[in-house]
Amino acid sequence: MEANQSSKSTFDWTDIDASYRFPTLFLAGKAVGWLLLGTIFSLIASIKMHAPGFLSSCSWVTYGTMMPAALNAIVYGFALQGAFAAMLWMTMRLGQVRLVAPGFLFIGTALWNLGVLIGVLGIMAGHSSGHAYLEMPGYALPFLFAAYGLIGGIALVTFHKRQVRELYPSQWFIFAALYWFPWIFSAASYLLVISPLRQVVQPVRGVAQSVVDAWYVSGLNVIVLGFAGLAILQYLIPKLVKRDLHNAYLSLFAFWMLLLFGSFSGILSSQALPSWVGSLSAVCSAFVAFAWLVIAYNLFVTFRGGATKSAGLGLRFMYCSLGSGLLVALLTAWASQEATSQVLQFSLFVPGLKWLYLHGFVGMGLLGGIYLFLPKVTGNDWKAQGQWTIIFMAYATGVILFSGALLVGGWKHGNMLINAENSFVEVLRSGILPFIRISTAGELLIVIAALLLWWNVMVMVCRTYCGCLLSMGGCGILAAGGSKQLPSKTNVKKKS
Amino acid sequence: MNQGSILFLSVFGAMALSWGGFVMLPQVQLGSQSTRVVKEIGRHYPAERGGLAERGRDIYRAAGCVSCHTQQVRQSGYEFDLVLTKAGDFTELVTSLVSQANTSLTPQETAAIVGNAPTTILEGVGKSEVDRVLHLFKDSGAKVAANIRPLGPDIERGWGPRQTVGLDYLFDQPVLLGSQRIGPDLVDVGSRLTDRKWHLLHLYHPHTVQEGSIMPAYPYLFETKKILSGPSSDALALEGDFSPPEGMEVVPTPEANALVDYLLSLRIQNPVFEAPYMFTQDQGSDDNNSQMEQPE
Repeated sequence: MEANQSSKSTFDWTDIDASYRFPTLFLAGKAVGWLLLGTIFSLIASIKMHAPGFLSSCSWVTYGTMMPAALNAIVYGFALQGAFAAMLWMTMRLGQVRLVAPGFLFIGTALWNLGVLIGVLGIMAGHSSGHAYLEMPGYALPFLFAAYGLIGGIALVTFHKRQVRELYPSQWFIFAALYWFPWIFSAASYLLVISPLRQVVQPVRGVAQSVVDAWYVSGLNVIVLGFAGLAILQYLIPKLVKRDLHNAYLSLFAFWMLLLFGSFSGILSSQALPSWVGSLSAVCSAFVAFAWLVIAYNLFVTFRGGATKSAGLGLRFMYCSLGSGLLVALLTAWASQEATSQVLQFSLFVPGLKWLYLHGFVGMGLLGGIYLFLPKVTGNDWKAQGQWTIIFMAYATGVILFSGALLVGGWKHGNMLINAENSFVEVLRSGILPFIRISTAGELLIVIAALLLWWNVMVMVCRTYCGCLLSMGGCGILAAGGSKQLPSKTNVKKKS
Repeated sequence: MNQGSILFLSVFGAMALSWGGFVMLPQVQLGSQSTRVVKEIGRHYPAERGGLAERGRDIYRAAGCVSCHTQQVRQSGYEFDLVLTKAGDFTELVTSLVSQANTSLTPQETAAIVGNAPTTILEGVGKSEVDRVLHLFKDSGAKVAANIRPLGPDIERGWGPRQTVGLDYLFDQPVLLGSQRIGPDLVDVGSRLTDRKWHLLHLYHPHTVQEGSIMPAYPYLFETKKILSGPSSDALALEGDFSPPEGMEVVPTPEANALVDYLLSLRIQNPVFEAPYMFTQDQGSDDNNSQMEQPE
């Protein structure tokens, strides 16, 4: 079965795109801002590895606060926010429906960013919860819940109101991601971070906390961020090469595999946890890797022989995203094996995988999305195409250096750790430091890419706002008529 | 799958399955764990940390020490030492059994083992060997014990006497297992590095006590102040590049003291049922519980 996106070329998108113009600029603008901030934090943390005295007199910027601050800024500020923007856009496009309640989306986005800001500042102030990916202190979470209630609600109502009833594979993934996130987020933060009923309900004790946290991290990565990324790939790759998705049943199969096994993959066995945790996770990781192979095959057949030549930079982002995601899935399955997990367990390999996934798969997908979506939604082309090539090159090289060094170094680090003849100082000197140096260089490139990206998006935001203000001032168009008039105005500009 | 409602139900089902299997099940398995009496130390384990150490864990969490330090010891397996604890009355029979148990012994060595019990017959053997030897001595009147010795790189490094198990973290809220070893494991640091002054110097600037360390310095946990009537008793003994200006001294803040209290409270120096090992503290007494006649 070939799935097509039922996007008839004759369909007039201007009305739909216009309803989403300012919300998406807001979401995407904030997302790239967080990417920049997060990568700067991560660079500071990385520099501290070489110069332990660097900025040491302040408790806000120790390595231990910078690392989780960077992770949370990138996961919640950039990856999730970018994913919301992309998923909303795809929901509208695939359903041929206008965004409902854009005003509430503004409020939701503002609340989300406020929540992330409070959370990141809270981590830096030393209020981190100590649970991986959930480090944000309890007082930041109500903002995030309220924000998601609005964003997710708007997305679901928009999905429900779709004009095209038949569902394209990307829509399954979007729906599942939107639905999965609030469940795992509320469950994990209720059990681990805030429990208003602490006195009544027995809180999660001991290592069960770690199991719940691992479940959250796996669900967030594989299902929420993973599905958002896969939705982008399955929507954009067929579009870019101008062919239909090869086989929707393969997508459906992968969807089910990921949904059933994705929420418990990638947990390396730990002897502090019950032994079934590691074994079950190894099985889940293998199924996830298989699902990824199926998706990669499906997309490969789709773009093989398609119009890949003319597709340009956008497709290169998609290739990188697909490649990184597949690589991470395969490496996770490999690392979860009993024998390899003994070696890689506490090594640099683990953060290497984490960053390859966040930057390589999610980041590349979102950057590609921003590159392709924003001009369509705003009606303005990117002013500096050359800068986008630089962004792509710097980001790709940066990710390869950053995570590649950690992955390769992790193997050496792990092997040195399991041989007790190497003293810890030796492990540090030859198993950690040389690789951290290379990864710092990679991070520097990522910061440069993020800075350029942020600048370009800001220019786009300003141009769109100015264009809007000009048209409002010049023609006196306001309220109802405005949204329909604007695109034609900008289109005229583009043509002239 | 082109219906929104089918999609909703299937995702809901998968979600419920995942929740039940990966959140409820561990909770059922682990949620009701409680302290238990460990015979070897004669008290309940684990104990709640005292006030200052509890405060210290907050500082450990706030500074993000968990980013670089794990708190878990891995173990790859077990080895056994077979010890003749009591030779009994049938010396001849026992001597021949000892030589059967360890065929590489000379007759003199065998006689010495039997004469000087408790003595070691075999070192570092596997479980099948233990079963064979215990079976040999079954009705001989002699007593043979198999002492358990955990194996693994972490244990060789001296990061702990045994693997860590779920019980060790019962009172930790949050549990700070950690996932990366940029620095050494800390689950048993309280028995490895017992000197309070060492910890304070190390926190003030790691290079004062550990050449080549990449741990960040934590000067904000200390206060540099003027020496008034005389040097404070808790002032750090800093030398060379690290010494404060003339007439000043560096004293730890209450936070630094709490953090060190927490570090010193990190100890797993006792066997538990899930992770037994030969416990040497009360070796003199007759009743040595870590010796297992029927090892698991």
